[in-house]
Amino acid sequence: MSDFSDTIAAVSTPPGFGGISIVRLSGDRAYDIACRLTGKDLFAKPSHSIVYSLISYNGDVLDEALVSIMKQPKTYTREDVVEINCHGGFVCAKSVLEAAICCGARLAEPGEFTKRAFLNGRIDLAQAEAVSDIINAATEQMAMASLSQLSGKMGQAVSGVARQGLEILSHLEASIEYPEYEETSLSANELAERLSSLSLSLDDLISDFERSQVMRSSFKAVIAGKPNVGKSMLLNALASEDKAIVTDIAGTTRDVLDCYANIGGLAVRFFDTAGLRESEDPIEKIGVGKAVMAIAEADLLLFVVDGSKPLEQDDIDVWGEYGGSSAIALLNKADLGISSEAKSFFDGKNAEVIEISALTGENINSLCEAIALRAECSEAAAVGFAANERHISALREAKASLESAINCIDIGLEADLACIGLSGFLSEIGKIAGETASEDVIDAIFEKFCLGK
Amino acid sequence: MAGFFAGEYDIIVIGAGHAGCEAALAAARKGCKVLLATLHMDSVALMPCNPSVGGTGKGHLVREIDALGGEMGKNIDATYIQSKMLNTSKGPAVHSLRAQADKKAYSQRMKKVLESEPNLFLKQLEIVEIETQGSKVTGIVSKTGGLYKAKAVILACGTYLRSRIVIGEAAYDSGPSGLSNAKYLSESLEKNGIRLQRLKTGTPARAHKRSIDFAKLEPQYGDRIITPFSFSTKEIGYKNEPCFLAYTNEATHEAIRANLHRSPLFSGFIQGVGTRYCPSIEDKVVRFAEKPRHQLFVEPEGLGTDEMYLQGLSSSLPEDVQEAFLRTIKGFENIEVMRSAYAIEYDAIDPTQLKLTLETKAISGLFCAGQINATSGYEEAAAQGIVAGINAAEHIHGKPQLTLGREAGYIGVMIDDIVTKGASDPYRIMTSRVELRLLLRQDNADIRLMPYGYKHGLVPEAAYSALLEKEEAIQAEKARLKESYVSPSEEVNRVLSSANSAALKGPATLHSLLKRPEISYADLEGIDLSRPALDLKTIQQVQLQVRYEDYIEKQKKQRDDFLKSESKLIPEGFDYSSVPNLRLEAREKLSKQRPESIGRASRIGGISPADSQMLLIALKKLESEQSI
Repeated sequence: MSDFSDTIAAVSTPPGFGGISIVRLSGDRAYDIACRLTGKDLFAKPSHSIVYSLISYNGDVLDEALVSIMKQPKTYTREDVVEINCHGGFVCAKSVLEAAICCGARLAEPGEFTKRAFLNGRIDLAQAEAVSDIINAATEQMAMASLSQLSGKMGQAVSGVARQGLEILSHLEASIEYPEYEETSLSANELAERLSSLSLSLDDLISDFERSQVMRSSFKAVIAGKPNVGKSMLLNALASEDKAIVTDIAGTTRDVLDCYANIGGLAVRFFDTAGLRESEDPIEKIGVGKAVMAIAEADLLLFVVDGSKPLEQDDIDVWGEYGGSSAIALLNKADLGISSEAKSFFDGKNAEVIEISALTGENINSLCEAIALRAECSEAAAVGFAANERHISALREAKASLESAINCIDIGLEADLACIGLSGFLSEIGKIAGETASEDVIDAIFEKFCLGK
Repeated sequence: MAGFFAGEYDIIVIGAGHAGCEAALAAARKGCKVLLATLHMDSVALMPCNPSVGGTGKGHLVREIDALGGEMGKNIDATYIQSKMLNTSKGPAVHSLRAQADKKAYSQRMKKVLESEPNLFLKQLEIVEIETQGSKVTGIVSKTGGLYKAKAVILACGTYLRSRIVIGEAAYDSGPSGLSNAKYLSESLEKNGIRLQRLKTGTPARAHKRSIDFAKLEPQYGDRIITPFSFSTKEIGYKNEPCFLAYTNEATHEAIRANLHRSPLFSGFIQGVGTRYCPSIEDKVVRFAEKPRHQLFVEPEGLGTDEMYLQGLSSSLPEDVQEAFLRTIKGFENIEVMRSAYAIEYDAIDPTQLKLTLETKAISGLFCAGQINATSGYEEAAAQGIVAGINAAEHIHGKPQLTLGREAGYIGVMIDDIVTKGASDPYRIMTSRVELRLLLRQDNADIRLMPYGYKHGLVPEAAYSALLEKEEAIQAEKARLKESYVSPSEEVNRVLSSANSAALKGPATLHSLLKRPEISYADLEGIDLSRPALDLKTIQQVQLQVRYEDYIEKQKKQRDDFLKSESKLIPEGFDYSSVPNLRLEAREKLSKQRPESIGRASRIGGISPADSQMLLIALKKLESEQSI
């Protein structure tokens, strides 16, 4: 018998590009959810068997897949387990996972399948410490992905919605706790209005989060070129923030700088390298050495030249060493006009060439599209969710709770029944914005209202 | 030091307030020989503050005390002078009963009940010492040198420990209402390793009825049909003494503001931490400076007195300032104060030193109940009293004790809160503290808790079998409604439309019709042909359980999840230092408080979800090691 009442889901294949990606479900409702996604009665099939099926949700076919079904207790977690073997790449797995969550699964915490396996008695004693370490690491990782990691604007929006909910709940509770005080009264209409305005704010927040959703990946792009062609400025243009130091003194970037940027919904890791040239400065030499190593490990080389002038020997040397079809050649400083000689250098070199201006942002979008295309086809595009998927998942749960609060007012039930939904809302938002204990509600009551004998 | 041997008892209860009375009665009714020691024989079950019992959340507590077999509900039913079910326009979870009491009558009736209990011995004594041997309690010593031996002792000393009354610049040692305090017991507790904290509470002035111009106030009456508190009260009679609503105004606030420098609260003269739930009027005026007026209620103290209680005006300002601000209130122009408002500081224990049974962790056989546990309110006290009384008796009989969880009732929520989180200001029960409040209603307190009262021997056989019958009738009727179909006939739709409900399109069960918020059980009478004869209380339960079924089910699921983590017990003496990856802060807190379960551990302030996970894994490991 399992200790857990909910059903969890996650993409369980490791990051990387394989032939398949597996979405794993574990828990009491694993079969139910899989029945909904496949439209088949999986309960009728023998345990530990594989079923071919289309996977669809709300009438949209998401993938065709092989579905392994396993009844407890002989499973990894000792719960009912379903594994949906999707086509490789992150798009299919992501949409199947999302559909499973919409059907009632909860996104698994990092290490949670293993934790369940352990707590349900599946794993032997020796592994206990290991599990504890996994969870410890996972919770640290999640703490890092918490509110403090959200951009200031996003974080404020979450806190704002949490505060709005807390205010409504505390007003409602005050009216219940102190019914004879004039200041606590709250009409059903007023309550309904405040709830629907909260619901609108929450919708906005959810779409903001969805827009900013980034897939984790291990795709690496290295920006290289000879000194002072605008590599650091390009990194800034891509990351839209001042992650790297940019000056016009040649050799400023002496180490490898990196940052993640959201490229077409995928987190791509960019490395800015020291300018590649022969140098006598020992520190700069180290920088160049590191740049060379970074290039060797890169999935994509962004080769930058000053396109306003003909190429110099340094440029040609670097291209000769590292260039090729896996590189994108960038003729930078297009704002100064592109030199036809620079352009013609790449003729017949089987290289993708883009004219850009890191300074004005010209063609940076086309560059992003080109990078996204390469990343998506790459083996390094990981299957998995970005940290912010957890936020979105909590926000969606919060939304469902809020809807149930609104619904009970709509059907004419007493206002205080909305407290159940509102508390659920707050505890979900609390997963992002920090703990919301019931004491908060009581504090809020006595902060706002003047009550008591 | 004891001078002479004064007697031997099973259980000694110190203090005959609301906690002490319930504790002593429960223990005596369970067959123990009980000594109930009171400082003042004329102050048994005294109400030194508001003249009412019940109210939001508190009303639930009184119902629960009654279901367990306690006295408070019966006592207020016999001595009420006005009664009102609050929040009737809100959902059933928050309906709360409140009754105005005739204070003297309340106190006298309770004293008579105590006197009539054969195993109970009520004595006027000041207790100065707790006697212990090893870590076990063995008895008490009175101020006059008497040694009273006992197997268990229940501390229900209210606000009397080293208490000090403060009115303006004046402060003196005193218990509530000018009664003498208990000067020595605190020291004995500290010697026995019990940590104390200093708290503060207060009460408003009482004024003579003849000095108030009631024509200028709004009278407020209670219900016309009285709902008794006790499930056993059959006849309650009808009383409806009015209370009155009045308001402060800018002149009142000005009079207070002009004299704030003379308030001991603002001058730092009072050190005790006051309750958020009973702010003084000067507090209200300072904190809510923008409010043009504050409400106050004028309530009778009883039928045999002209004293009126001024709810909403508790204060520790000097008497001349009190007088001055009172006179600015419309209707109070000629007010004649009989007792001034005061603040009172007193010692209480840090309640995290208690088990859920209300026994101290440090001293076996020593229990604590009521305001000494940093709670406030008669009802909170009485509820702890009955739990402590039952458990002290089970303790000496070596039988399983009563622990009520958060899923069982308001009593469980309260005890879990104070024992787990402590209370830095006096704790008041509130419906918003109760996660499962749709399950823990005042109307079903009997269904929820009477089985415990029966099991612990306080609820008589007859009452318990009546409860089982009622429960059976409810279930049978719900099942019948689920199977009774009606079709969309003209008759059915006429009944629906007269209740402003949508017409039927296809056949439906009566159960589904009753789920509509606008339909009552009575509305369906004409179309429900095989309806059995049921009493009103059964019908109420059926209607309520059907109407809110979806929400109730949701809360039942929450309850099951909650119980899962509550049932993961942490063995006594568990070594927290052996848990890998547990943060130092968590390790210290857990080692100090020693919670009974993972669920409780997770509610201790500062314990993170990750800490609970680590603990869970360590326990699982321990379990498998032991099973090998």
